[in-house]
Amino acid sequence: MKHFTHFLILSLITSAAFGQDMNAFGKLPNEEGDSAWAVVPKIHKLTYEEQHEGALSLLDERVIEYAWEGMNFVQTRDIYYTYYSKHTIVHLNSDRAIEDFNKVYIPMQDAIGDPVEIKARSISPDGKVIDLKNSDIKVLENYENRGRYVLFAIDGVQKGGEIEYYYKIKRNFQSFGSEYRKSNFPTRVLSIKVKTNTEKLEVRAKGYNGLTDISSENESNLHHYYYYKVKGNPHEEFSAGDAVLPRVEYKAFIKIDAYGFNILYGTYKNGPTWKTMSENIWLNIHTITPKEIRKSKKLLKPLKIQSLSSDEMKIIAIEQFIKTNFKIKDTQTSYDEQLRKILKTRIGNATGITRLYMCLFEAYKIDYWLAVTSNRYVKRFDSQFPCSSFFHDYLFYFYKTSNKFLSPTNETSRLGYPPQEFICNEALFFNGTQYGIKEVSCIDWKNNQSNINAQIRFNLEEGIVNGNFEMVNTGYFAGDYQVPYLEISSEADRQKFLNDVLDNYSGKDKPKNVSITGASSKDLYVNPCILKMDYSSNAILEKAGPKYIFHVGEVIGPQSQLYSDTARVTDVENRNQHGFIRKITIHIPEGYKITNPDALNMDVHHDDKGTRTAEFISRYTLTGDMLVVDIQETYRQLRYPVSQYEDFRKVINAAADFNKVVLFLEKK
Amino acid sequence: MKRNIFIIAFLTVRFLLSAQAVADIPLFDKYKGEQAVFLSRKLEANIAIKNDEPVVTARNSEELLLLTEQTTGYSERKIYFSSFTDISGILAKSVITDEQNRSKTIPVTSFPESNELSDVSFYDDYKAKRIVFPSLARGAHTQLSYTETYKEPRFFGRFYFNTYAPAELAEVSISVPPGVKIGWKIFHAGNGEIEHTNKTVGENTLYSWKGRNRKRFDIENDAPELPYYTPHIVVYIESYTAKNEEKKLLGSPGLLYKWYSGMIPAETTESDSLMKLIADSITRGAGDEREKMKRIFYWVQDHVKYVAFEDGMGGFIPRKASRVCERRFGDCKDMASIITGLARSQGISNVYLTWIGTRSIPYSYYDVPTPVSDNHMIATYIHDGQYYFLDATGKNTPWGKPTAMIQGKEALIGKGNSFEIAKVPLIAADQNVSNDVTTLRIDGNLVRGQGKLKLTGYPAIYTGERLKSMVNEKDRNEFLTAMVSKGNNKFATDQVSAETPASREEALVINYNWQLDNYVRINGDEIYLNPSLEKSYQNLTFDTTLRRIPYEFNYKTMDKNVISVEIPAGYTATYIPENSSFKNEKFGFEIRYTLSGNTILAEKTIRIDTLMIMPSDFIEWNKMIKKLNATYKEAILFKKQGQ
Repeated sequence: MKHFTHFLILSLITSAAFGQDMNAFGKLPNEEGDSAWAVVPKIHKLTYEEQHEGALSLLDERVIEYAWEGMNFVQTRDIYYTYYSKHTIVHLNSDRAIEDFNKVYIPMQDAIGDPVEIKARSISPDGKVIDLKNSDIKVLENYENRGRYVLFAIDGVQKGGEIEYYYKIKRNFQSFGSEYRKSNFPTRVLSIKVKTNTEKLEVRAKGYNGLTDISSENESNLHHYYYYKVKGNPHEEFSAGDAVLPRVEYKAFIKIDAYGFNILYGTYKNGPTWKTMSENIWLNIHTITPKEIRKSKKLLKPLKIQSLSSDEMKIIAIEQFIKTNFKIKDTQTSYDEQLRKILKTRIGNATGITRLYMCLFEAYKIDYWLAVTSNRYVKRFDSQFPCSSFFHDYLFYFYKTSNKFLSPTNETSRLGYPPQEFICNEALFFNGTQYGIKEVSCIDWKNNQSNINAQIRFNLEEGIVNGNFEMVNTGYFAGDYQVPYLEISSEADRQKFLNDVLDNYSGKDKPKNVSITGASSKDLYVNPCILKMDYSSNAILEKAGPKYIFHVGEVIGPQSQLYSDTARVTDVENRNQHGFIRKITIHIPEGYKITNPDALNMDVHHDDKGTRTAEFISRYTLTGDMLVVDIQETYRQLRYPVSQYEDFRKVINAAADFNKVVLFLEKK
Repeated sequence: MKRNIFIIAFLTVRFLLSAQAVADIPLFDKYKGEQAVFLSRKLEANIAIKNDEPVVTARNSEELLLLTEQTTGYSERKIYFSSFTDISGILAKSVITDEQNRSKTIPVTSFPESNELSDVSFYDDYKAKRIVFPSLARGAHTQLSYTETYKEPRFFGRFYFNTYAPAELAEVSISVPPGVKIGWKIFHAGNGEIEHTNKTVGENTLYSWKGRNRKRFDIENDAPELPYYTPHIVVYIESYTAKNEEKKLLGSPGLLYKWYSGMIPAETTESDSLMKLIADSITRGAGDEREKMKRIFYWVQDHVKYVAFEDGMGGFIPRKASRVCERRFGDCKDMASIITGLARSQGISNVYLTWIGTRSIPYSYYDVPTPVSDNHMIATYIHDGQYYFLDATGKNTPWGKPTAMIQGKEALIGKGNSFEIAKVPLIAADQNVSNDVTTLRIDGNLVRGQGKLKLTGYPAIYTGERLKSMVNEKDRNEFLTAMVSKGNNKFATDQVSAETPASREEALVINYNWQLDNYVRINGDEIYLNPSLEKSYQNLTFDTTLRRIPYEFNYKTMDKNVISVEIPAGYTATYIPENSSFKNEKFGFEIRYTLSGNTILAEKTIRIDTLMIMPSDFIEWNKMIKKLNATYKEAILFKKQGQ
């Protein structure tokens, strides 16, 4: 009975939404994606362009509906559920696309029971329809530890045909969520609706990256995001990953409750604010007791933290201790959050371990703020839309000590260098008494460098270039080598790792006398990681009769090239700001000269309003038989808007061009 | 100063947490450079006869000592199983020693279960139980034991003596009751490396194999699978006695076949009216039986998509051909079943379901006549004494060719009550040729040319498959350009196209017009041009001190590059590199330069006539690459005339 009423309400709202579509676009012909499940489906007509895509999603419609379903008479509270449905029609033009689309996985992590409804069918090019049989639906109870999935494969799928499926699942009330459109193929009609059937609730939503709300002002219970002709995912290098994809963020809150305040979900007059959210998180996490503080402190007693002369040193010691002695488990259970248990087993989840840090900071009277933010490769933090969906991870911020951040949950990061996905992104900061929105600071390019110092000598008789090579990495570059090096389990494999890294710089010869310094766990990010080797290469010295061609450009290792056959769509988003300072010292053999040293001079740079943003500058000086090449390549901005893409690309490509620079050696 | 205090603090931490049991102290030296060592790894199996059937239970136990602070990689452990085994009696704990040398045990109390699908599966019944060891630090021990009960005794048993950490002791023992006979075979263990004993314990015989001081296994890129080089044992039950009668279980290919074929209902490969209709239309107008079979094979390749379901015995029994035909998808067995079924509907009876192991499995059915010897199914068509191995999972494989992954393997061909083992051929290098022929003209700073890349055999199959999946013209052009790219990353094509071959048996031809910037070197009145625009294999050398395991290729192959270089007008070639070659049984190359008129013809052929470069070949291989690289660095020198 309950379902029946629900169905009625849903269909009423659906037809209302339809009217909306028609108003906005004049008409909504069946050819452009019909959101109803046709009794007799027909193969859609495609435009010439659409026929040349591997597949085309004709309709991608999702509906998130918040429903009031009566009251719980035991607890005398209103009961709400969230229904999620998805309806898709895909036209398949290639074998590859069939393989991509003929299997459907429905994530059921938050679902209650089985799906409310599943329908699926294939329509062959000549119109034959094969429906999904219930007996072909499979369940995986815990798919690779990601929870429950319902899955099925669609029978009878053919090239030139279509598949269509619809499913609806019921979840407990979800106060927030996000919907992404992720596909390598284009979509003709993308429609995402967030709505509710009750005045007791309010839903709010915001569209990003091309999704706009077409519902009218007076429909407070519906947000309808619509996007006509969405292209496939752009897949551009140096871009912000999923954060650039069309998406909707939404939230729902209870305005009024039959009994004043709803103990299950909380109530808000105007929706949650950053202030209320910061208070809630603090209340939940800051549950530490004086006893827990005493116990944690006892654990660190041998570290003699009290005697360290600065707060920063205390923080470093605490972080090093926790990260080398505790393991973070990827669970949400309250058991893994209990400090008592964590202190005993040295295993806890993210919240539990964060709580342990708080205990220790308070034990040693270190002033801290807690920050929560989003992974900027998933979504940029949006201060204009207060919503818990921007809370991916915790960071600690030490305002009084320094301007540094610490990630309690990432075991291989260290103070000052939180995981890169969290920097240069806003966050919600709070400390129990105050709160605010502020950026997690970027890290200056001067602190992230990968520098090369190479000495080059020739053995012309044997046609060999002898190199002494040193690479000094700082900041995130240091971590790039320190982290994997620390994780390798044996000496032989560590040797292989170093060889594999240095192979790129050794003129295609095997590296010799390889060494690494600054790669212990206490060096992580804070100390430079230095790799050294010698090599004897015969590949970078070509011979043409009596002359020699020295491939000096290859001394700096292969540089990537950015092509531009299609117009750039997304802004450039770098992992960090960084620089490469390189010095190549060439010892010219006696009796020889280099005839074209000017080939070494390069200057490609970009300034924005007088400020240097990126550069590749190479200069040489010749003193006697010593030719010294100084190269400075820097990327001083994290982000470059599309309008600056060409300039950014030119600098990147300048390095790739340097790779091709050769010097001619001939007798004087 | 800051640094000093820091170091002291760090040392104290070590002292606090790194207490080690006295007995372990020598191991820290012995396994220096390693992060962990197994004190022991044991498999203790027991065979019993219950209700006249053999039942195998196996107790696995291991104890690992952590040698460094780097413990995170060892805190999590998974026990994998499928519906063929039950896991019970899991005991897991961490044992730590404190600074007063007191040992403390912390048990693991929960073992959450997850579905762990294999890479290619859409759905299967593989699962894992997860164990997270608490309180790990340098010097800690983890202990784990659990019992596997085999629901099908034929799926027991294989044991690797070497795994991801070295082991003081690795041991298998099997308690065998009277009347039960077992067979075994040991692989890749030197003489005396594995100690074997039999002794009588009560009524049973206890067989045991012990290996001491086991190394960690080697893992390398492009290496064959573990059973090709890691010491291990395969054990199986040959026969048992029930009701005073000897019953044979495994031990010969015939027994294995009998079991396999007994699982497949007769109607599996029968056709129905829909199949008949489809097969009639596919084969209409076909001249002979072979032509009919070829069309059926191609139809299945094109119309039945690969979706793997492995659910219990469904991993062994093909689905009914008629069902596969309706669904238009299936796994390898289902494709074998529909090929056979479609053939039957045309009255062609000499097509058979065939069991086979892919190249990931090194065993012969004669050596290891158990289910570990195969993992795949195809159909075999036998006509006029010729064998056609029909593997429709390879979507672009031409008629008459096996897929690369079953080359050289034994095919167990089921012929009702009888069977046959036939060997799938290895496709020769000269049938898998990539032949790139181009002109080259120097035009200022650019070089330009017109080229034609002709692919046959596996290179054509794989490239054709990629092309088929690309409908979008931009993707196709990018892919084709990458296929013919040479010189440096300034390579560009102004025209590139693939001729659509009339059938998948024909060569794939890519025609292209190209240009390359920043490649030719101009120095005063001289021009240098390196004619080795493609330096294939230049980085593939082996460090004989570090790599101890083979390097594997997917197929034998021949790479040819022919470039006819036009001598620029007004220049003469004053230096042309010398010819060079290297030849042995398994690999070789030849580079030849010929001057005729105003062109220099540079021809290069590299031949890989083996699927595996063995460690014993590494020195020769490195010699070849050294010689090849010496040639790669030689440039042609053109000089302006009359200067």
